[in-house]
Amino acid sequence: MKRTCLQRITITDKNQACDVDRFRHQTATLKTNNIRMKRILTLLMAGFLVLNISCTQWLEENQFDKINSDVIYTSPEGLKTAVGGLYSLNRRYFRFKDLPSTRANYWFYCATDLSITRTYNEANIYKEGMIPSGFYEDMWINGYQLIDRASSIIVRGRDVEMPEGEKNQLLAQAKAIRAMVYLRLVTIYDNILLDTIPTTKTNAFDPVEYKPATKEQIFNLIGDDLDFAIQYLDYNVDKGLVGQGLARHLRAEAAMWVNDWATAAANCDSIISSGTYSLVPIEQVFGASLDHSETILLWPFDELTGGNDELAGGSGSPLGAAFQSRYYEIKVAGEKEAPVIEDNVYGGNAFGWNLPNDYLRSLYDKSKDKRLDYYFYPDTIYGNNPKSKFFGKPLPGPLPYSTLIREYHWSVMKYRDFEKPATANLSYKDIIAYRLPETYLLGAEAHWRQNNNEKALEYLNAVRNRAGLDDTTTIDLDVILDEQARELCFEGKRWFFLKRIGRLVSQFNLYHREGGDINSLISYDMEDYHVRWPIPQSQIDVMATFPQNPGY
Amino acid sequence: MKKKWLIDFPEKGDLKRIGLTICFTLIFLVGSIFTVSATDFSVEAQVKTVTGKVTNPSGLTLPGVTVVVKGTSKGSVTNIDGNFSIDNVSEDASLVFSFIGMKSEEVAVAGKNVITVVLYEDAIGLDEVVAVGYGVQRKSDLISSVVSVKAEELTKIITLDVGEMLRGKAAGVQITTENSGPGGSSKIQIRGKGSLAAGTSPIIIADGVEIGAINDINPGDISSVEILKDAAAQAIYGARASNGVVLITTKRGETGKASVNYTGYYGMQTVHRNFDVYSPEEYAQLKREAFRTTNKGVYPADEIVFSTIELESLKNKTYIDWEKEVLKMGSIQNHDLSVTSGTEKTKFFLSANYQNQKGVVPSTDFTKGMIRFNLDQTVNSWMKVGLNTTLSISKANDLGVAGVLNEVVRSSPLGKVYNDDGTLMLHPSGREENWNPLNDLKEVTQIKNNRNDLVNIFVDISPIAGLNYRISASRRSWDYNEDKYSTINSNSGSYNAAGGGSITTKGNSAWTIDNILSYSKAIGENHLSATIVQSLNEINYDEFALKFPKVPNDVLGVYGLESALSWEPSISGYQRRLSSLAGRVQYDFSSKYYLTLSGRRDGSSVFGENNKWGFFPAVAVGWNIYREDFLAGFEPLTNLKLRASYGSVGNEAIKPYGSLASADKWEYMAYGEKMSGYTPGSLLPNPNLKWETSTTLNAAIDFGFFDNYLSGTVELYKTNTTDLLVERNIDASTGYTKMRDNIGEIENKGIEAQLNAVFVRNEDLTVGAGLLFSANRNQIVKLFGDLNNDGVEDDYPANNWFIGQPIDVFYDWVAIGIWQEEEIDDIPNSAQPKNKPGSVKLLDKNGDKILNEEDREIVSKLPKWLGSFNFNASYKGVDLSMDVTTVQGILKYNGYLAEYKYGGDLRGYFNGIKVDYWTPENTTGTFPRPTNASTPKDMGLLAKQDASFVKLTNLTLGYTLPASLIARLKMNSVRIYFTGQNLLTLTDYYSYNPEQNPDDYPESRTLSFGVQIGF
Repeated sequence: MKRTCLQRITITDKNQACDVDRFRHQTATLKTNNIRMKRILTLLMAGFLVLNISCTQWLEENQFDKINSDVIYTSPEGLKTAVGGLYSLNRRYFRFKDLPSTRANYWFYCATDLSITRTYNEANIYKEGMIPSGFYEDMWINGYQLIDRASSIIVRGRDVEMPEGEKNQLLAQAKAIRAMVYLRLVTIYDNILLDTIPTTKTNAFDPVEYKPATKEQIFNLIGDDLDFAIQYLDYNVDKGLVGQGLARHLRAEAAMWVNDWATAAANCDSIISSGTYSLVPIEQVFGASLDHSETILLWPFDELTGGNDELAGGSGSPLGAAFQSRYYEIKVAGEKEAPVIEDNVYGGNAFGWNLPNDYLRSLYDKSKDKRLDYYFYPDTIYGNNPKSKFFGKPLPGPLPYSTLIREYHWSVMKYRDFEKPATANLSYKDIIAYRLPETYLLGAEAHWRQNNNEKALEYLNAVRNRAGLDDTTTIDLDVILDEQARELCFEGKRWFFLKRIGRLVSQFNLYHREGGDINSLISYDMEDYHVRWPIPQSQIDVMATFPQNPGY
Repeated sequence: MKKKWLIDFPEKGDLKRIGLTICFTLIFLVGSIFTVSATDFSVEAQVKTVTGKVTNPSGLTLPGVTVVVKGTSKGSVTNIDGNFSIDNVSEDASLVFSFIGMKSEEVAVAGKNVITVVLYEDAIGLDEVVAVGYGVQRKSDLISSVVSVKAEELTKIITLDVGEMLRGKAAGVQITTENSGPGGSSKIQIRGKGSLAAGTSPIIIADGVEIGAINDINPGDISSVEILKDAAAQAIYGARASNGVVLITTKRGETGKASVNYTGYYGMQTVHRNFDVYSPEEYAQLKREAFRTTNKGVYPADEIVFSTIELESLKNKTYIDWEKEVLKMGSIQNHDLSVTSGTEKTKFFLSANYQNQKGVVPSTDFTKGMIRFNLDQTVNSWMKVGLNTTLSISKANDLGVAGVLNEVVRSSPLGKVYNDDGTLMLHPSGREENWNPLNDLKEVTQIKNNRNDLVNIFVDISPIAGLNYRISASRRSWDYNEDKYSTINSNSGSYNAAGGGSITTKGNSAWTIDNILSYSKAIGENHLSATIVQSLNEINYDEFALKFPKVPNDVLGVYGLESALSWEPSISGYQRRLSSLAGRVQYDFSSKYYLTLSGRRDGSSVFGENNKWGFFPAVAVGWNIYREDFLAGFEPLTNLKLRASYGSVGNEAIKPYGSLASADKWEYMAYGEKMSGYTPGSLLPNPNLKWETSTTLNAAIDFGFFDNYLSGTVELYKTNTTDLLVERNIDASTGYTKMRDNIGEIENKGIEAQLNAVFVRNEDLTVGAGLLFSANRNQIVKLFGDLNNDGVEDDYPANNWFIGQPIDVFYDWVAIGIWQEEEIDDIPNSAQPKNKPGSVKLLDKNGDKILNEEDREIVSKLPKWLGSFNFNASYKGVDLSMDVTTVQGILKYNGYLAEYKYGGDLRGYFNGIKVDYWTPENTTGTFPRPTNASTPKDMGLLAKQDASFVKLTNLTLGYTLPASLIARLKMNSVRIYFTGQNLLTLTDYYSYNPEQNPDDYPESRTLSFGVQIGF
């Protein structure tokens, strides 16, 4: 085959294969001189060198839309913002948000002896769904993030030059938060890593021995951190911040996990006798403002400065909606109009995922206990739809109005928010994290464990009297168990309390129910190993030698 | 300017131009090496001037044909009448005539003064020039893997997305629809997925300049698209080339040819879904079944199951067909007007384009206008300047239809669309789960404005023969502005009891300076060319968004933000830079034996301090066997080439600042005030971050028989990508969860085949067909190493990464049916002791009654092979063409068969895609028993569907008016055509399009009519 192609010419574009003008000149002779070429070459090589040197600098990255993280641990102002950041992360860690990754906290409200679970979380409660690879790993991951950020403040903050008192207050808050997170982690997983060294650029890739810390090591750290916090923190702080009250409360709670009843009792006594806190009238406990004398710590929320976890106002919580039936779905036979429309009096828009069960109800003295009126919605519903003929009147028919739980069931009122739009299920009302009655109950138990029944009854009766009940004169674990349910139900405390006293499995199996219709509720068997969560598989994968919890 | 070392140049002009070259060089910090040859150019014997004319077989004159005196670089180009004239041609010389798409002719002068030549079309176009990185090459000289797609192939596809036009046009290129809505785009993937976390999109280069997206180019301006597939072709783009390179060449003015062209079409669009939702009666029954299950197997009264509105609807048999209510006929139109003209010195191409698409989902539309101006100006004998510029604006009404389309599938057919007063009912079934899909279409506006400008100026300086220096500077800027507003009546507004909106602006500006020095030289049969490129690139990006969730009234829409009760601003930005030096040497002997060496050294700002630079070399060899003498006697063979290449390219498609430690804003409240807070994010900075490198071995054979009436290419490749950029999970006790890191290795290997045949080609009738086939196998070779010291490379199940398996796999238990009533005694002793009849039965592989990792199965999601077939025929003025594409063996998860939010979980809250569910009466059902309580366990295992398809993508019938008629109309050419797009899709995947989910914008069938007019 004969070659039929062009001579090599400089091709400038494909539509026109050559440019005639350019090579018309090439008949002229271009005499070149080797020496001259070498000079040109040398010059250009020098140009290259300049280029490469300047390029190294030219390629340096300088992030201008974010703060360099080293800055925040090395200056007084930085350290303050680091503590602010820690609080924000902490609020996210401990509250429930309706996202797959942040449902973990909600689980502790549901997976107890006090609830019927209609939907949403039930698949994971002590069933096949509770597997390491599917289970809420944020509880582990975000916990350690908080711990590392707290440790960064605690370790690196020591070298920041600022007034010692001010510095210790910042460090004390970080220590209290670190203790709070470690307490949460150890009580969920039992087997955890202990790490107090902040991660830095230089140590991030150091080899680590992955093995569970002993219970003693963990509780010693928690105790030390809290003792420091108690020493440097005031009682009188904003309810959203960590003060001596919270530090002591946590100190008491931690001590009880290791049967150190004396320490627990002493700290509860300190809080109760501090004069900072007092029980408020029952109607104020979950009233419009939660910034009252009973509150030890609350998670602050604010719609106008919020919208996302990282914003000052945080993000809305569906806690109220989750524990509340949709009364606006109740139908009256033969009626076209729904008798109830979405209204904040009945919690507004709701989910009805998880509701208080008959066991909890049976614990209350119906004639006296005022908590029935202020912690729960009433059984009898009044029509509020102006178009309905039951407007302003009780709905007709015997209770229940519907056997479907999502439409009607006894519901929790602790998170009712009158300020949210009735059509919204997210609430920006503050949420109480710790309040004085829990201190009283911890104190009661701590004193009872030390056979100081007198003091124990004093504390127990303080809670009972406020609810309108008479003094009780006997005290044992069952009395505390029941009072704990009556006072602190659906506040995320029960699961940890039951686990601590060793009654989680038996209580759950006896009373927890699941289902969408009250006529077809079922129970599930919780196994003993379920009292501790599986270590997230993603973490086992990267911590090759860390053992999975037994049973998983 | 007069430098001592320049003074003994012979001519003043030479001195000036050399001086200028060097000035440019230094001004822009060019580091390039002059390799000026010292060869003398002797003046040839001058004998005569040769003139002549070039025509095609039917006698039409051919302008723009290159005429060169063989063995020299002297030549000319035919003018508008096909005439040429060359001075000083020696008596014994030969003239070579060449033209794109035509076979070259060589004619001996042999004393003639006038030469008339007829050029014939080349079936394969071996002399066709294709774009390669920083230059062009003739197809016959090509030894790397470059596929060229012609403009006509692209623009016959009725879509506004250039990516979609490439579907089925090049072997090894997979186009997957990402958004078929107005203004939507497709994903382009070349030769499999080669990265775990870094980008896998090819870079798009238009006229030598990287552009933001393929749709920044008006399809009508495209002259050709080249896809660079192997390392030898890509290495000159080093840094960013590991996912392939798409080179777009736009049209330019031509000497002596002035024309005005109009092309345009208008089409109507409809949708076709290949799945059924439950009919109203079936849906009612599903609901009863779901409630029955939770009511101890007894059907509850309808009054309990249904809402008041649903009951009414059932009683009166007034049902809703949501698809009919929502989806309407859409339209698409595209108009191009271009002017091209050229004199010897000045050539330009000017075009204006208007695109408009009204979506099948009402209130969605897209309008775009583009202008291009390409200019080539010859300044003098050694200098040319050029300009490529394009300006485009577009506006889209795109309210994010996923929610709307989801409701089309899942919304209850029981209920009422409108209230009695004619307003839309928010919850048509009376249940709050069911939202009226028409509501947000009416109450939400989201307007997206894009402005995209590109200006590229270049100067070509050719001081001596064969040497060309080009400095090219370009600036691209993109501005995006989005206004979104939802009224108080919208779904979100009714929730918040207030309207709200957001304003977002994004934009980047990028500039690039390229210094390109190229030289080519022939010494006897030796042909040598070299290219050196030095390039700097910088991209600056900024984004600002302001959300205002609560606006007291809707009167002003987004302009009411001033009165909003709160604002949530966010701002971010980045800069990334790339500095590169590349070189390429191409050598061939006698156009038989080829060798190319190329390499590029890139520095990218996004990597760790000590790892910014990477070097990516490649080598390619080729052998044009058919030019060997021993095959000279074998007449049928017109092309036979073996070629192979080996080389590496890099990937830097990760976000900037991965090696830096930064803190995020995390605020809190205390004492009623905002409390400032900062804390490091969850990404641990990695100061050692470096390039991801892909190394490819490519081998191919090109062949052609019978004057290339039958031709094709078979290509084999193997690409190993190492130092994969991933965002790996790290031990969370560090306080961080992820880190960008370089780990492991992935291998992609495959085969690509392309076959073209021309069955008939004569003056009246042409019939041809083409076949493309490609298969890619992907596997993970290495990940993090052997962490647990058991001597075996570790898998990474958390991300479904397994050694020896493809990147995208399902790692699941295996569903083997539904538990039956008669098995009720077996269930407690099975691996699923808590199951009930009607739930999904899983395979307990080893029979140990525990479902664990050992019972899981790894199944690839990636396609087994891709193919396409095209057919074209023309008879006199009538032309017909057809494109069929197929993807086979691809597995996809369809959430509509399993998930609550898609109505797939058989709970009776939503309608959904119809499946055969199990009931005590229907024991052959393949899906679990409906239950009102919660999503049946393991349903997701049933949602894996074979998403293979065969699609008739294009069917076009055209008619070109006869020349005699056109001449009377004083026009150059007129063609009218009808096109049907996506007329038929065969697939088992339940969706509007097997590449997308049912809530994605539905792909449309388009019927259109178009004209092409040339003046």
